[in-house]
Amino acid sequence: MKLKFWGVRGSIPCPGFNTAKYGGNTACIELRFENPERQVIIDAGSGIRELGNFMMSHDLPKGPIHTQIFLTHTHWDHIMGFPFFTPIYLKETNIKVHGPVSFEKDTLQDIVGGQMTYRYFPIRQGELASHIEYVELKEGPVHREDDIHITTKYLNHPVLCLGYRFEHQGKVICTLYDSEPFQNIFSTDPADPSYDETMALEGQKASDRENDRLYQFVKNADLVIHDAQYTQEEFHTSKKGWGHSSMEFAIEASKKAGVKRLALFHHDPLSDDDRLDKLAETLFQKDSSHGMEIFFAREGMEIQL
Amino acid sequence: MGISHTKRQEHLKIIQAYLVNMPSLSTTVTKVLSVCNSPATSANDLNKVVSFDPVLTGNVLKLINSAYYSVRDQVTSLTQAIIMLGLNTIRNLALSTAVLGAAGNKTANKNDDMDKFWTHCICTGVTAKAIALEIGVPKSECEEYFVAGLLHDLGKLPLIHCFSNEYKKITAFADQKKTPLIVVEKAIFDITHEETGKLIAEKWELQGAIHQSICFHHHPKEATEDSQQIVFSIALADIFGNRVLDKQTHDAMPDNPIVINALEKLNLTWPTLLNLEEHILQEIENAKVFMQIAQKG
Repeated sequence: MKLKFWGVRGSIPCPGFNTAKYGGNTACIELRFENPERQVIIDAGSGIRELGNFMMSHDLPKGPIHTQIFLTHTHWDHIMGFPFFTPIYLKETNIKVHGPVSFEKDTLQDIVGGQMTYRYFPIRQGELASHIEYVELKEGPVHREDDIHITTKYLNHPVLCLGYRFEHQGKVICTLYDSEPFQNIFSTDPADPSYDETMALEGQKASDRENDRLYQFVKNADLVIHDAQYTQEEFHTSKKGWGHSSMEFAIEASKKAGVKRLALFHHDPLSDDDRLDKLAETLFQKDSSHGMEIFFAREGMEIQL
Repeated sequence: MGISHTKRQEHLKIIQAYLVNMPSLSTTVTKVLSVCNSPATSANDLNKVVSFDPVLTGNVLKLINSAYYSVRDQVTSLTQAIIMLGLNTIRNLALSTAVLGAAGNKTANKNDDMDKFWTHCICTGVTAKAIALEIGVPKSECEEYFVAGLLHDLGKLPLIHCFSNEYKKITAFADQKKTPLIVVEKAIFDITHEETGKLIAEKWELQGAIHQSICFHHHPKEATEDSQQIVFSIALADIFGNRVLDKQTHDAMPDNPIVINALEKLNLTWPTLLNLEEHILQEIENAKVFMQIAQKG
């Protein structure tokens, strides 16, 4: 498997001199499989625009584009690049878009394709020449073809959101973003007037169990791409409940799960290159003795597994 | 095709249309909107507000059980569902369901019916939970009894909403003649609230004891063996809860085969149930205070 990061940023694209090293595009990851030759794209954030241009020059000359997009969720930063993914305008292109939907009546097609309506964009979804099929996903095994096994796991985020586990020829890559560790959100203070003992105990049990399931999902993976939008201090000060992890948590939890390489991902727009470099110096050196390779994902970075 | 069959088909068609956008209860809408619209809502308040609304509870369970493939058993606890789905999703789900209720066709009569319906749901849930504790069910499993009690009469909702005047007459007739409501429903509508409840349970993909309680609370013996303890508890809570609300607990034990069978099955006595009365009334009062619903008799 060969992986390339086309977008590593969270929330909103933030191009500029200060983010040129790690990149300003939002989430998009490309996975290529050699035998048989297959391509999978994870998320359609603004990074997918460059990937589309690359595919036009690299793949199209060899034949019509066939690809599969797996969306982690439908928050804007993970789908905003879709209208700018040039292959969707080609008649011969065949795309399957997979992703979770929430309780709303809108289908995945309505949500993703809904960006291409008169009020937002000059081209309507119905005018696209390519063949696009939408597949709504739940938690569990979702794909088992060409020796590529894909399983999903629901994550703790303010909308239904999926982590993916890709297994191919003995190698495992997992995505665990956007994801906040499950918390017991019920009051545990007996002095609180709304305190309820059963709620407090059951909330703790449920959050412990869900966190355990989360790290079973990435157990012994060769590479985990983990949400790490905040530092621990930021998380505890003001970001609880926002649906993201701290870098320190991502490192500790991945270490416990026996992960071999950890890519910290979904960088906060406020984390410029200098800040990420400084954090790398302090956070990664501390953990150099544990055998797990840790790095901040960088736009354009390629990893061969 | 007989006349009755045609009538049943007509009723079913109207009911199916209602189920497509089943609204939250008008009784609970104001509180749901106020709790869920507040950015500072606590998980405890959210849990309470959802647990006091059968339609919302059903919707939350539907979402969690249709989304989480790997959970071997159905999630029947709201506390667990809220941890798994998160506050934001629950709040938005509650708001969208409540807005349907707020926009629904409301008449004074219908609101009165809904208030009675709501009180009966809460009463059955609270009574079922009290019974569960009494028969030694572990505390952590008692919420399923509450939820099953809360949801057991969901099938009445489409009947109250779609055939308001007719259904009012049916319930009044059943009360007056001391005839079981489902017998009168069957005679007049050719469809019972257990049957409409089954349609809702299937639409919401509810399974296990909650599904069985909705479908068989008037015929608990027909429930699957592994659900019988809960279904018998709901059947008993249904009858005893009504007695508590009607202040008839000091009358003699009813000569009702469901009560007799349930007491035997659950190894309970009528006097033990009578001891629960004060607790049940207090819990209903707490729910009303929390939901800011005025006491009505």
